[in-house]
Amino acid sequence: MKRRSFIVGSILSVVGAGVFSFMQWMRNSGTARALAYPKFLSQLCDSDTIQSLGRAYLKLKPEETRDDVLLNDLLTEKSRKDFLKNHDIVKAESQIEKKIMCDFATDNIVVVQGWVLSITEARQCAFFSLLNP
Amino acid sequence: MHRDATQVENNAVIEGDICIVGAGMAGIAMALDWINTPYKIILLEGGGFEVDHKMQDLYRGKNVGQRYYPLQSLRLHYFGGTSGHWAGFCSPLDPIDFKKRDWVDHSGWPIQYEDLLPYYEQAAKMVEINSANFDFDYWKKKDPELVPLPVNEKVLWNKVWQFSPPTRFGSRYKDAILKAQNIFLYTYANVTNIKMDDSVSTVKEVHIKNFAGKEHTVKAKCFVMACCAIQNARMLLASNQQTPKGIGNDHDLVGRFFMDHLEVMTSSLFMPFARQTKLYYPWVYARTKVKAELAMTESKQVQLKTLNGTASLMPKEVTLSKQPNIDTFSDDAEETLEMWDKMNKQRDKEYFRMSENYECKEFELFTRMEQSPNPNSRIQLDNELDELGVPRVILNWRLSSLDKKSIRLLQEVIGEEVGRTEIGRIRLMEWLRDETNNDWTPILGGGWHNMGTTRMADNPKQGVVDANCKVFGLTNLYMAGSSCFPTSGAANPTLSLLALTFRLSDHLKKRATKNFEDNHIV
Repeated sequence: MKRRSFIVGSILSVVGAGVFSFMQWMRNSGTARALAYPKFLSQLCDSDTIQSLGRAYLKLKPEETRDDVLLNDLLTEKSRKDFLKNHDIVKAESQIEKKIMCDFATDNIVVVQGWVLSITEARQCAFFSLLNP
Repeated sequence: MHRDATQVENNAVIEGDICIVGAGMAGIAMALDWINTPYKIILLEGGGFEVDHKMQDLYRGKNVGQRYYPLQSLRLHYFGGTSGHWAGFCSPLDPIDFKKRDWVDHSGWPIQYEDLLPYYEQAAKMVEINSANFDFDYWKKKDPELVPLPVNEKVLWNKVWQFSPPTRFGSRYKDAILKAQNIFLYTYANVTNIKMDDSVSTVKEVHIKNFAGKEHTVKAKCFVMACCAIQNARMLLASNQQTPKGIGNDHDLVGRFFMDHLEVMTSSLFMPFARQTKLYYPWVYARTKVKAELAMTESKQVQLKTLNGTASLMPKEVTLSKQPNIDTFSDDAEETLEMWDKMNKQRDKEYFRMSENYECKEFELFTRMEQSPNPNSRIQLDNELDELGVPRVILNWRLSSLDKKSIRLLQEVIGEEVGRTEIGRIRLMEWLRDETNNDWTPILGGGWHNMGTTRMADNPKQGVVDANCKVFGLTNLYMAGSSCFPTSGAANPTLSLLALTFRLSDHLKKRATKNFEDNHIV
């Protein structure tokens, strides 16, 4: 039992450390800010509104009030790995945009302050609000 | 031929083959359809040829439900009826409107879309629109500038509207009615009672009164009530001397299921770049020939279990100067006529007639939603009598949570489509945001479309009239107009109520051939 706990614990530590280091790198590189910026929505709203939408979303989903959780949801595992490998921000943004369109097509939406948003872009707003407290 | 009932010797007995009560759109349409037949048609109009306050006051009543328009100006009580302040919106009902939908209580007509379809052509001619064809592709060929938003056709479709000039039935068809040899129009002939024979199965006569103190009796083989949804129900309920619950009301259904369309600003559409939106262009009085509104497809309605509705796009600039209809509609019927006249005169000055202004980035969505049939939304009689001694009405307009949910879902679906296609984003208005809140906004209005109070059904336990608009249990009493609609659909009722009237007329002609031929009067 102890051995099993040790193995599970070790795996979680490794994964956790990976996510932690990924997040650290993201924050430090300023890349997070780019990925947290909802491109289409930003053509319609200013930064204050995006922040406000983000905070409102987190009120609806308080369990997501962590940047690592939000980032995990923005990028698929595959795209996260690709991103770590190639540091291709344009590709990552494009993948998020595709995910947003897919959200709208699959009824994966949320109404935040009246805005009918894709869940992904609502998470971008939330991420944006965490990065810009 | 025309006679003023105030000038007819008192206690006259007027006889005909068919008595049509009400010379509004349905009544006039039916009368015109019988010109040059060997039958004598009596057309009774309560008012005269001009709107006047005293006649309008006969329509005054209380409203104890959802905020609504003043009843004394809602319908016009003169020859031509409410066509006098009609805006001219025409579109047919959709096939789904006739179907039984398991998520909409009391839905389903005893006839289907195909049964009404042949009569839309005749209805279209009456209201002087270009065609009975409402297919978007048909209109797109006529005008390539009608570019639709690139939405998924399996989710949203472009419901096309045509616009009548609008045809004012009173002025447009007065000569035809007056010159017809077999149509006998009586003005100032207010029906105050419907009398049946001793077996209480056949209407024998109706009694009419006017402010000159004259009272007359009209006898006919067949009676058609075409007085609008409120007055049709009122007359059946008020004719309670032989049947205490009123005529056709054995199952307490007369006056229930009062419906209107829910018309209200619901959301904003923001687009980063202007698009050419001539297809959805705001309606300009007496100018716009055709436009489209976004509507949910039948399959999407089935999937979401929602009501039928449409949303029109109104440029933000237009809405800034527009107050909610419910706040601005006058309680003075003459003022409502003046309002339309003023709009008519202003039409050449309309900013949005300029083609360069077809391009906009910001719109308000104005939604027109079907109201779900609700037995508690109803017309009842008041203890107060009008000046001719008929009980006034109490309207209790009641809405349901499905009505509000459907409005919200339509916005969300449009939001999903404009999001998916990167056209823009939708923002719901404050009153729609909390999906657990079933309260209504004070800016909600109806479309001045009264429907459902003598609903059509397969059997008398579910409705007042049968598939031919005949009152259950009576051999010769028919209802014409939107009072027969069991559900309202998304479209304004005018075109469909005319189509239904022509269908009724067709039915009566077949019946007349059988029953009237040996003893017709003319």
